[in-house]
Amino acid sequence: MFDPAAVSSAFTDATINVLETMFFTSVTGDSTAADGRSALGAEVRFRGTTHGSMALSLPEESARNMAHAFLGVEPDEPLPPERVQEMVCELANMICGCALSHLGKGAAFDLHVAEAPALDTTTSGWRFLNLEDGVLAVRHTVGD
Amino acid sequence: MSHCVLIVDDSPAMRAFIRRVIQLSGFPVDEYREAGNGKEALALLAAHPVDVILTDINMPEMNGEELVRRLAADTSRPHIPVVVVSTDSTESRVHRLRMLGVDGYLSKPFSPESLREELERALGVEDHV
Repeated sequence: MFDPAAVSSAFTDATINVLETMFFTSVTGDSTAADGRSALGAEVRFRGTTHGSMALSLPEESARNMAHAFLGVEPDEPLPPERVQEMVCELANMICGCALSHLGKGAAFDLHVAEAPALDTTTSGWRFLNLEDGVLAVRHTVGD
Repeated sequence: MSHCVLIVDDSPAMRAFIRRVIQLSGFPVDEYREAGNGKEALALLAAHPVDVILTDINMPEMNGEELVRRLAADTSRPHIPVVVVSTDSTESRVHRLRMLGVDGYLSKPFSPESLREELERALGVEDHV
């Protein structure tokens, strides 16, 4: 139903838009792989006129920095790990919703609650985006 | 004039973020109240009046659409403006919520300026030049 190139573009644009607007973080370019550090991830499934999922993974340190920015907390103030993971899930939720909302007039969908599964970014389908302090890995799958 | 704002979202991080963005926007608020879902919001409203409600859609127990529906059906209290804040900005969702009577709709991601505009529009307090 949706052109794969348009879907890919929607997810890329949504990622950049959400990071800049809500997390005050910029994407500085593409990378070839995750940077190997311990990472936090999230996955959001959706159904509706189309179905699929969106997943992301980023270094714990990048996630903590992003959470501090998101919540307006001073960098030296500790954040509970569960709050950082919650922020990662919210990031995935926003990117997914933003992307799907821009797929066109025929789009209607319901997002499932974001989950935090173990994610293997060495498998196919991932795109890697350079942030100022690490690499964000994103993957989307969209069915017919 | 300062306001009391009720923020309804199942994510504590998002509630904190919305508070922060309201503060950044300069919209005058003297009190924030929070609820984790529509059911909690209705319980809170029974005890505490608020000036405006910001609500997510996808929440456990009672989602934002049901909250809006229940508020619209309750004629025992004055209308409280509701602004939906959601990742879903598809035409079908926005149309359905407008038909239910929401006063504003803000899709994520959003800026402090756009949040303030929606709040002012919902409250009918836009600045007139």
